[in-house]
Amino acid sequence: MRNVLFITSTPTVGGNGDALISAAMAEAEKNGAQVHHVKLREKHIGFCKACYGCAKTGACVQKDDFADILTILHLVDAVVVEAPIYYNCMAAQMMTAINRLCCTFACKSYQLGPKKKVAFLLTCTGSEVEEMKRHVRNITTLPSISRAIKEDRTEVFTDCIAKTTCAESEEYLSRARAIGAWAAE
Amino acid sequence: MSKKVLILSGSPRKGGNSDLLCDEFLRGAQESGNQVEKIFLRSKKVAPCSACYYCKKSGGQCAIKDDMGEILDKMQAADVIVMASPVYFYSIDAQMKAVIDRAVARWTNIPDKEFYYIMTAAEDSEDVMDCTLECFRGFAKCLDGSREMGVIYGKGVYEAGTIQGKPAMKEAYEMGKRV
Repeated sequence: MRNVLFITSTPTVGGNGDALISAAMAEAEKNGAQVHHVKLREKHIGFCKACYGCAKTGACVQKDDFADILTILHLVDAVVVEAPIYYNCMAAQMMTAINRLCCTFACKSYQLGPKKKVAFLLTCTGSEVEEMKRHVRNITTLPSISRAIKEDRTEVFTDCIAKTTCAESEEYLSRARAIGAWAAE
Repeated sequence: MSKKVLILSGSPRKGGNSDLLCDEFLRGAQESGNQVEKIFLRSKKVAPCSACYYCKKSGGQCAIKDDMGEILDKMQAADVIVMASPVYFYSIDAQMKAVIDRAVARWTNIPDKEFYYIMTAAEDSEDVMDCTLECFRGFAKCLDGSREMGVIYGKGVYEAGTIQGKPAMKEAYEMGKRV
């Protein structure tokens, strides 16, 4: 059985990110995956201080909720991440979590568990799809991150002008379901 | 003509490389008679935007009471805004992103600013900063009448302080001087 972690970074309860993650997560479960769900809005995660305290063992000096997320990240076979795009760049909540993966490059021997499938679901209003994919690719192709990735996909959901845009779009929900099924394979 | 210059320094490290470049920019801008202030984000508290849109109904006041109100006041009062960040995962750092996201409270009311960007990265090429620059530009593009005036690329720096003696230090000073 595959373990799949879903990470929601939208601050909006019942918004577009929640609709996409619910759809993807239900589909992954239907396909036999054991699902885990972390909502960043319920967590306390500090900014990376670039102190490189993690260089030796990979453990961060900050004792906050990121440690538990990292523990699940190690365990899972796939990760599906949702992030809203604000001003052409992922929201600070997601960036904060990504920055805390500092241990993966500061600590040269660091391994994020088994190689994973990774998917990004990005919601935006008018951002360029290719530019947003490049933004993700920049992260996933970093040597310290890419060595933990088996395959990756990015879906960009444009024109999310209302909180309910995704919930009301069968096309968007079905794209999210396809990601859920892929993650569970 | 003397200008009001606001420098937003996003380095998480005291004496960090992008922060040292900010100091050089500041020195240059002061020497040519401008009114310059640097805000070191590390010493401020700025929570991420909760997308509640309280600010839409409150005339640009945010529901979160932290240091962002003061930062926005100063951004509105400035003629020139300098934004500086190290490159993390090929983007700006989350500290700077939180400030940009929270500017949503008054983004329609920060017109006609001149922008300068300062970035530092461990790698030696400028390509690795493309996406970082896009994060800054993505913000400025949303503001009426914003103009990009200059970019400083602090390349090949990892340990705090290694920017000392690199050409970017002189560039930052001179760019500040020309404000």
